[in-house]
Amino acid sequence: MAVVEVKNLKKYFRVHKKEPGLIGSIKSLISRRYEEIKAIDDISFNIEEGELVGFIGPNGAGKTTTLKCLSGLLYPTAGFISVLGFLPPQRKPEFLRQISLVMGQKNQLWWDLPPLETFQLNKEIYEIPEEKYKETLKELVALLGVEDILKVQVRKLSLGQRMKCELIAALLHSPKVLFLDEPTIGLDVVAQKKMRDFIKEYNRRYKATILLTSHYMGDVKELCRRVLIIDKGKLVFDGQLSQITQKYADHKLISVILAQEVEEKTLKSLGEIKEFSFPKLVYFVKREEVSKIAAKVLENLPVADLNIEEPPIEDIIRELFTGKNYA
Amino acid sequence: MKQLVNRIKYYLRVYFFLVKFNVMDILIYRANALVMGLAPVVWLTTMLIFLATIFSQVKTLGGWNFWEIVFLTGVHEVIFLLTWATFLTNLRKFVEEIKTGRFDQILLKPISSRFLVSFRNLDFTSVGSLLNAFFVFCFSLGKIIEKIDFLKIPGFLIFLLVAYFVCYFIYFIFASLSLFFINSKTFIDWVFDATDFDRYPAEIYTPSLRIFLTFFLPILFFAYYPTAYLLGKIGEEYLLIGPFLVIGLGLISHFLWHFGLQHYQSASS
Repeated sequence: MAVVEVKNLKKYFRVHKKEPGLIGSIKSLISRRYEEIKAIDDISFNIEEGELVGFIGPNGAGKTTTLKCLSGLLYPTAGFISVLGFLPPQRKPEFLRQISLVMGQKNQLWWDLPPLETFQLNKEIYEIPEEKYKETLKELVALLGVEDILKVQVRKLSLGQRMKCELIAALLHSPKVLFLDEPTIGLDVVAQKKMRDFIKEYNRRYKATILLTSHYMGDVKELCRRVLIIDKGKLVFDGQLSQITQKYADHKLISVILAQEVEEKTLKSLGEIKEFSFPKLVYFVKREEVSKIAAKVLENLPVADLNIEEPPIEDIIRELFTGKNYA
Repeated sequence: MKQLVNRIKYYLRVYFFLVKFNVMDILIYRANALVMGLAPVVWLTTMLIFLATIFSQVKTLGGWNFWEIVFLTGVHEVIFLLTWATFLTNLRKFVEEIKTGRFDQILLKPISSRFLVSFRNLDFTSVGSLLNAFFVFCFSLGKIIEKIDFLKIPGFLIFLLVAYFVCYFIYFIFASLSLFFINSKTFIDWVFDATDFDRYPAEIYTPSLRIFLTFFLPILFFAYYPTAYLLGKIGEEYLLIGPFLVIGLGLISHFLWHFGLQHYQSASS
């Protein structure tokens, strides 16, 4: 049985539309215009135990709303959701003890106290036995390397340090299902890397089922084999990350290192140039024309090296969201 | 039964930790806490001067003499400050938490969200005012002690308990409206202002206003009814209304809360 089951999930919001300025505010007092926003519009997917799935989409696509429905914060408008066999909207304590939702932009740590105090409070709320608490805390602290900051006031911690402590607070009760919403937002590259390594290790060590949203394709590429792509509340892709390239990238890149300078006119005559900075030259070519153009390049240019590559996943996703070509 | 005892123990343990954290929190901002604690002390003194000025012109107000009304003020302040310290500041903050979506973190915990929303923070800044109000309460009690029937003391204590719960449920109901309207602070402030009716003897109000303040917005239960009962100005029958009111308001707040949670929209991240 799947750990997470979502069938025809819909979540609509009724949003009040206000014209700008003071006049708009006065008008809205007398008569209000409401608009129905389809934050999630009939999506279905399953996630099996131990899977680490990436959930991507542009801003406002419905990612966070989905996570909030799955963790019981929001009541769905329609459809069925089940997590670990529980119905999340019922928010039963036994359910909440087995999940965690970490939101990169919202925190649970007590601002003026050291993180250790919030951990203590969570220990009481989640009724974690003393021995288990000590053991889990020790493991998480070691994995994240935060031994030195546990007794420092939260407001004196850097964003990265705070985020690590937020993660510990969210994981102390060893949740079986973890919803991570932008866990690396605002972090520098070093902290991002540490966070990714941690998530990967947590998934491996505890067989935790993880659904992760991120705007950084680096997170998704490094962590997830399977991705769900959502746009305007609709699920537009559910499959292996590698399949995205095959499904959506109708172009390939021919990267060339030139042995000597060539007139730009000659270069352009061979195909569409994506990037050129001597000696590096990159052609953007349709899949069916790759071999023909590669042959022409080799024939007409002084080539020191040549590579045929798939376009970067970031580009494909960007193209997908801007071009809206979900065929 | 054993399960219930365990649950009570669990909530007491969590509450103990919350109290501990609040003490630690307040110790960080010691100076601020002391200054904030002074403001209501000044206010109470002003109130007493105001009453003394009125009573320099009249002998009684609605049949109550000066020290009876000072005692009423003392009871009102003690109840008000107890509610302020334990849940009122939390419920005012809750309205903000709905707007910012911080309520999410509370909903995710495997404990009654209503408990955390209501009792998460303790406002120790009112301790100074509470001591001051308690002094007014005791001093004025000394002045009217000969009028008090000691057999009424258990009933008076029940009235105070009813006052605390009625106050809690009324504010909680109005705070819960935030789940529907996002911002219900104005409603809370409105109730807050309306509690001023409870500072004076209800005999000075029209019958319709008294009925309204007894059954519809029962703020006369905060201090007026307990005090009037102790002073023998009302009969035992009012003691019976209290528990029904608590149960009724408790049920309304329970359903409103659970219905409201279905409407909770959170805030975008």
